[in-house]
Amino acid sequence: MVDEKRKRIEEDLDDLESYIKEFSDFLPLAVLTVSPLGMIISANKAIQELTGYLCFESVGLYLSDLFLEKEKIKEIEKKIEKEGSFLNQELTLIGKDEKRVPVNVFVSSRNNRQGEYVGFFTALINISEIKTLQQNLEEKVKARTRELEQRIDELERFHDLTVGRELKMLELKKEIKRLKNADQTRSQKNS
Amino acid sequence: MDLEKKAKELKKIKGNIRGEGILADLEYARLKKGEKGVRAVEKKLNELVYKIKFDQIKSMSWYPARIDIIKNYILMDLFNWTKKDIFNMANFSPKASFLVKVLVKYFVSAKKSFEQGPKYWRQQFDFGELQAYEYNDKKKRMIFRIKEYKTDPIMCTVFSGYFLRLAQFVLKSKKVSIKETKCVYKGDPFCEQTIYWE
Repeated sequence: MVDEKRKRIEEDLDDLESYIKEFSDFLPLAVLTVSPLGMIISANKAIQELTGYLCFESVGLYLSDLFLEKEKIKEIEKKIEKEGSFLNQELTLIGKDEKRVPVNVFVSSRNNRQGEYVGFFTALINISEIKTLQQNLEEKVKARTRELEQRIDELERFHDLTVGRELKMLELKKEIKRLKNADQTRSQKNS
Repeated sequence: MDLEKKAKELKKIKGNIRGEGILADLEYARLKKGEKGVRAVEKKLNELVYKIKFDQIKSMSWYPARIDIIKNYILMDLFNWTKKDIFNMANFSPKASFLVKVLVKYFVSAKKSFEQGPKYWRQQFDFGELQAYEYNDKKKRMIFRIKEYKTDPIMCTVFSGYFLRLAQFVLKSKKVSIKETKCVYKGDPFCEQTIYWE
């Protein structure tokens, strides 16, 4: 009876392990389990595409080893231990080949049954494409702004030119009228 | 290495080990020698009367410890591996271990992890005993004693590699080392692993 129960529990554990492994391998975003010391304890397959490190290679590294902003990571670790809060921060990941990848970092603390802090989960989302799109958009906006400024400039010059001409015409008309009046007065005097 | 002789010697070992211990080592062999290498180990293992299919090994199920031990000798024989390679494989093993991921909840501090050592042992083996003998923060060392576990000398190398990785996981130091300070195969009543850090 006890043996049967034990066997069933072991089978359940095996199924659970397979489920966790399959699920974490399926996830398109990199998920890391980090110890209270800041050391990576486990990583899913997606980390490979993001950093070039095999899952097992990343295990045993410090989380700060993977980022350009090392001090920022230490601050996050301290904050998450104190506040246990969820953070979202934009940071720069350094790949195995030193390639830099902008990522959004999500952190969520872990506690054991006694409520003691046992590290945290980290999810990394590659935002390279968003960044490129954002950059392209910013450049386009800048170019359009420059274009518009040029147009406004041209319009202003045109405005100045046409308004100036109008005023000159008005002045000339007034002058002609004045001359005509003067001529008429002179003619009347003579006659 | 006379593998057949070794396999016969190991037949007397009665204890069991969790499947994940074998699987994690195979993951290392796969990294170093590819799937072909792992298949070669499986073939050799089956030739030596240990009928087992690696694909069917379940992490949490129990398997005869002798399979885990002879596997080390097969790796040494097939790929000319030395004890250093076996040490490296054992040092890698916790990285691929499901149990370590689950037991990370004990990694609150180095001392707590040390105290949980015996519990961790019982989750890996159904025989032998791990004693968390001494944790000394001043001397920067911790001592584990392995009792009632006399199987094969290669396991001393395995334990050294494995314990070192667990210590590397929980110690706030990049300079961690391990030394076997007592050995049951050298006349001591038990094996003792001492971990040092700076």
